[in-house]
Amino acid sequence: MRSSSALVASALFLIPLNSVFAAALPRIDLPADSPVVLLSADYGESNEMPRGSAMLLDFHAALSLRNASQRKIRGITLLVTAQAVTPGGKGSVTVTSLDVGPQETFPVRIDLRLLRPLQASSGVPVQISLDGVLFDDLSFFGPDKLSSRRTLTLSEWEARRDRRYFKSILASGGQDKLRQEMLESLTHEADRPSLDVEVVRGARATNFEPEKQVQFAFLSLPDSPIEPMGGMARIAGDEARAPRLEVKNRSDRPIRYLEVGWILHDRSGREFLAGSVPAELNLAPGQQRQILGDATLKFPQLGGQPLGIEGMTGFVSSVEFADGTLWIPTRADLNAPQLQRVVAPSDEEQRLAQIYRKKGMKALVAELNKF
Amino acid sequence: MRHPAPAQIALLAGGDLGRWAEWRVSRHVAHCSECRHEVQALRELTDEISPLPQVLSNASNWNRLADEMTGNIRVGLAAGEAIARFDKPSRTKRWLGWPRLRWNFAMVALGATAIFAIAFWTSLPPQQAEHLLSSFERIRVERIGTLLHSAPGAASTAQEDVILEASSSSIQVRENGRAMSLIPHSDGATVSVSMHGSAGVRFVDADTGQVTTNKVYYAEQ
Repeated sequence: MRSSSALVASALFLIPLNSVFAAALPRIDLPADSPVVLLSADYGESNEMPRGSAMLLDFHAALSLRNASQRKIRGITLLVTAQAVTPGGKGSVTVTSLDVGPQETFPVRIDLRLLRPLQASSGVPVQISLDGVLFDDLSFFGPDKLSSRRTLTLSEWEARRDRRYFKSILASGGQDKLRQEMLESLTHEADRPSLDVEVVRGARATNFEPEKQVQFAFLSLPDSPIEPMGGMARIAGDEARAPRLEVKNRSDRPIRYLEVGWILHDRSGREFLAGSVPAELNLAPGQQRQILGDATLKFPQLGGQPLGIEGMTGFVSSVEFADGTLWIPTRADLNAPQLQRVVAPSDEEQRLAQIYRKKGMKALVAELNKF
Repeated sequence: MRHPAPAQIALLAGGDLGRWAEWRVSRHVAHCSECRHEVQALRELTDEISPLPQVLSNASNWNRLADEMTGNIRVGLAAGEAIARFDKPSRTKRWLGWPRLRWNFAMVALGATAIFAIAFWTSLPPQQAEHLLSSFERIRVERIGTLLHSAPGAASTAQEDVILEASSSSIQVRENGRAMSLIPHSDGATVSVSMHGSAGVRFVDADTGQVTTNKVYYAEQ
């Protein structure tokens, strides 16, 4: 363990728990110069029990962190690894839309379940470390192994866009108009179709359905710095893979990252947001480039019926310029019927809608007036 | 004294004898120090090696091993068939008197086939050509039993066994029967996946009201 804070934290965890489960407790590793300090950790109803020939570790942690910096924290990502259980994969827990001032504390909750062989119970199975913290001035701290800087910054840009939008609604239409917007947001969220999905790296999984190539249609977003020129993906039964897109930089600035949202249409006309195709590239103004996705998405059948993918639509969902600034769709872009049906509201819109649903209009207005 | 067969001694040590045979052999073993030592030694050996399968299952990718073994068996069978055909006396031996004619005929046939193949391929619409290529690839995969190569940038064979799953109730990274899941602490979670190799679920925490996103990734990301 590298830092003294981590040592103190580990000592705090071990005291209240029985010695059997203590062996399974995570190691929390914060850098010595971390802007957040771990104050306490409550493992509540965590337990470990045999399940057949395996051991099931049900792990619930409520961490209490303090902002030890002089700036407000907007978001944080913690990296979760279980090297002895899943060396080929890792996890993360990200909290966004925060407003944590200097020396203020905030909670981070981690609910984790590990399934591992019975005999592999020695050693610390889980490590939790800091991947990044985003501050209100958009500066960032952390190793950024998971590209948290981009994820947190993108969320913050969307939060600012949506706070501005709801503030303008409140200013122009009053609480009635804001209430109407919140109800619409909650309705869209409830009606938005959702699919379970498996991501498999590389070529197609075990599927003997004939494969076909399906062309992308594109939604035109007028202000987008990227123009999609064409694209296709391979579809077989309930699998979609190998999207290939041709994009052009129509802005006057070089672009280093972009993401294209991927909407699927099934035989019965339903639409689902399947995922996104990201690309790190160096795209000069006017330049055209092909981007590829190398994973296979598999969608479990809906109500026993194969999904039957018939068509696809793509739209540019975010762009990062070489200077670090971002482009995201406007509220007007997102109000296009096809996007409104399938795209989830931003983190901030979801949070504000939940405040309205649980605490009412007064609490929502107070929240919007905070900053 | 007539000793039981070594197989019966081994079955007794492993507790695998039928009731009657067990009673009979146990009676002998109780009075025969030589057989008793044999049984004891076998039981000690069993105790020593019993943890081994678990250790092996820890370090091995059984699915991949099974795939490789199946692939090797199929390749072996195919090679055997090919060699058997090669060793058969050929009817074409009667052509041996005219080797030049045989080679000329072969070259003409080969050339014609090549011209036909090129003409066919170039006249094929791109979509049909892609479909044909993917069909050939699938036939090859099914024939050999394992994938010979994957798309550029694809991860190693070991990582193909790592699966990311996302649903509104949990996200999970699964690998050789082991799993790590992150559970959302709320209903109404939003699922998202990225072709870069990640799956996530976003929710508003029921207790804290905070927007939390749990994600799983491939390890090399």
